[in-house]
Amino acid sequence: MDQRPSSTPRDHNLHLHSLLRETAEMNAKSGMQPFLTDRIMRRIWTLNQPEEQFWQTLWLAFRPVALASVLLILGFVSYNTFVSRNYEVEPTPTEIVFGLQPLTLTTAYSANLDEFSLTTP
Amino acid sequence: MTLIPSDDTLIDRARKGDQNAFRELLERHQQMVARTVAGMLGAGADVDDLVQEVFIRFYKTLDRFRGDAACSTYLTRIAINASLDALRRRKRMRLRFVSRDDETVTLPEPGFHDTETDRFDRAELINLAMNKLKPHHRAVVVLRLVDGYSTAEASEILGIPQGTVLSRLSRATARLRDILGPILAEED
Repeated sequence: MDQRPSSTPRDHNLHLHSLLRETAEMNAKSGMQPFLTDRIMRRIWTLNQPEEQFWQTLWLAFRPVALASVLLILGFVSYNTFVSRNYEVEPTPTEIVFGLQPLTLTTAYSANLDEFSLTTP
Repeated sequence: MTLIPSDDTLIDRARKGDQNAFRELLERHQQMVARTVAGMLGAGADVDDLVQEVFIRFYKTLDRFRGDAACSTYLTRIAINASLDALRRRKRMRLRFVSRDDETVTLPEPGFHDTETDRFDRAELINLAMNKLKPHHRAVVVLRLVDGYSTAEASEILGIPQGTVLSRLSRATARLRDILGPILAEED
């Protein structure tokens, strides 16, 4: 009686080969997301721009702080300008912006206080 | 008639900063790299992350590429090394968080047909069987049986003697045949 198996180890190898290949193709297709090429190219572009990337990252990180600071400074300047309108003595622009009053400790205790009178009737 | 530039020409142009040339190389070899990586890691979300890593490593080493081997062979070598690194990372994670007994190979019910679901089940089983192989054995199986490299080429890519490639392949296929035997017999 012929006891030969219906399939030989070589057939098994060929079949295994095609199964493995088919599975790898399926895995590759399911694991790949769209726009991979664009994503890789973007990464490569950023690799080429380390300095620009550094400044961009820095700007992005500090942008909220910078904007808040600018708004705060503008607020102070407006307030100082508003308050300085009531001064009797004409202040300089620097004094207006920084809210400096012409009367300082030195002038307050000066012997010639009349020269710096703020409340001249 | 427009001539299709060779890989070497594209590599030369990419070295000089031509990003379109690198993009063309990427589009040309992306599928091949994905298949190698997917063969090594199995299905999963990290396949395209690893494909990205492979091409970034390739870009960073463009100046060191001397052209002794074909571009595809060079990329395959990077893909295998990156996959082996990823498998080591996975193993470390698994040792930390997961019991090793949770991955058992369950053979499906006999009577496979060629429906989409059957193909999916079969692929899952083959992935589980591949996971049972040691990473270095898996690399040989992927290179020889999935990517279709010769023994000499596989030996060059892995940096091991041809005899070692053959012995690893023999052990790995025997193990796969043990696990997948019923499926192989049934489909023959």
